Amino acid sequence: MNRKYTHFSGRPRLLTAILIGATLLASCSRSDNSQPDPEPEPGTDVYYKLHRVENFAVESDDENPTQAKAAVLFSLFTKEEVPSSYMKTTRWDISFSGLYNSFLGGNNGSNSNNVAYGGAGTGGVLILEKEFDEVTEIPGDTQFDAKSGIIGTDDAGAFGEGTGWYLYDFGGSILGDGTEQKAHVAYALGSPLTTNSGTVIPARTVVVKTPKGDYAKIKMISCYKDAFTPDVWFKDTPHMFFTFEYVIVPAGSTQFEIKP
Amino acid sequence: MQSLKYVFLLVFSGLFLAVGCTRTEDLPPLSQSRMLSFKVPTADGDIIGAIDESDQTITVYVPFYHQFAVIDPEITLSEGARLEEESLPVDVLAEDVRYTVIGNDGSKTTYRLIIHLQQITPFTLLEPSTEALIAKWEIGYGSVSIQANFNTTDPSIISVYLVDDAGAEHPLRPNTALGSVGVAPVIIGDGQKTYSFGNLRIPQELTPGLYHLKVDMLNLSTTSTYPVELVWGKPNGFIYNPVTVKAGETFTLETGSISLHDVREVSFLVNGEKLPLEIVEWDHLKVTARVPADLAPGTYIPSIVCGDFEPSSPGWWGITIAE
Repeated sequence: MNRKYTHFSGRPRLLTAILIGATLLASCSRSDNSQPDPEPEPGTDVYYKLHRVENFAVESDDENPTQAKAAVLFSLFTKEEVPSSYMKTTRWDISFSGLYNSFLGGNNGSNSNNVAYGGAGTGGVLILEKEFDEVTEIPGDTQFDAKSGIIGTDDAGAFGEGTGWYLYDFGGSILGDGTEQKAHVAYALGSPLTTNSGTVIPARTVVVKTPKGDYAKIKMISCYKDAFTPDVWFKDTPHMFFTFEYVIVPAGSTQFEIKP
Repeated sequence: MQSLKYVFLLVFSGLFLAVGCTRTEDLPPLSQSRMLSFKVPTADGDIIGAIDESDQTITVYVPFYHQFAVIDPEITLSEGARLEEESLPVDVLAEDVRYTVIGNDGSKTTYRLIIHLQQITPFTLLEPSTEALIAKWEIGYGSVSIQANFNTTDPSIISVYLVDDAGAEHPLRPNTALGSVGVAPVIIGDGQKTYSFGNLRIPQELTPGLYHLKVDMLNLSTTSTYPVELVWGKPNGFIYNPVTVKAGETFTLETGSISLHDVREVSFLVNGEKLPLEIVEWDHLKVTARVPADLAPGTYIPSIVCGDFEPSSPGWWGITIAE
């Protein structure tokens, strides 16, 4: 018995093992590799850059100022409006809804108050009382609000709904000179503003978690066509033409950065 | 004995080699232009499409409760392969969608997409009319509600039509002047739950007569058994448009709801007296009248009479006659 074991522990057994192993390897070598290399996400070249969108137009109707139009969807990656039929997809990042389509929201399919309800989006929005350049840290995911149409009029103006991206000067006397043309003006708060009573209203920055988990910070500059500063905003200035600047960083980031 | 074992080992190894080589040689090379997976991400996880290589089809079942108008699939392919055309969101009713995969070796495989939209049937409309009582709707009325088991709150996937005797379909459009158009669940008389799709406008250009109601929702469609009757009504809302004109000039009133018909009279009330104006022209949407050349400056509220109805008026805004 001992001899038997001794015999098989020598070279022939090693040779056998190699032959069998080689055979098995050879027979398996044609198997299909079903796991393709991950492809780079489309649109990744938009990260870490300052982008500007000017005069993004949505329909408005001054004859029915209290009737909201359908939500308008926008992609921060393509800088284009997205068809409303794509509402439950992850191809858009922010929605403009509510009166004058002036209330912002993110793309979140899990929230029944989001226009994307049912879709795969996991986004949201929040607003900070900070200047755009000062917003460097990305807030925690639990701070984002998943509902649509939640960031709009600021409490510092008329019909305020919390901290908003614009101040609505209903009578034209909060920031305007009280004339009729300065009434009903929406002042974007991308930069600080000082009211006629001397109150300084800090700038606001909107932060967006996109449906795929990236982050963007947005400076809302104007909702008037070709008019980017408060001195040229009047009741009859063509609106709603959104102008804003933003930076996107990829999912997992903790800081907003602009890289050369 | 020892040499026998060597022989046995060699035969055994040869057998393994033969088996291994046979399997390698006999299998045809796998296509490099294969679609490996097709999935539709949703809030509740992925809907997986079944890829059948025998007939190059992708079959995907979309449950009704997702309320998807489109699906936006995520597709993975063989290593190095690409799609001939960009994958875009696909209408859930589309029947002619194909994906051509181009392999790393230049080979091509085309897959046909089959979408099974799982909707609850039968699709039942609550009829406005009965055999005994035909509902009368005024032409141009802008707040019609349709009740059916839509099982959705998404108005964008529902279409409502009035079908005339000739079979022509006239869509009822959402009346956005009354706010956002929505679909909401309602409990009807017998305690059953259904859905109401409201604020639809009856097209102002239609003419009186009997029409059937047809409702489409994705791949479901239903038509009322009994028709509704469209009738003329009294105009009850004008589009706010306070204009300033001079004596002798014309102005136009435009209805915002019930259609105009048989416009017999346009007038101002001046010092308590009705002042008839010349009717220049009218159609079902608007009427143009001329202000008398000798009318004193001021603001006058206009009034019109259609058919045998009582006069209609904007009520609180008027036409200003300038100096």
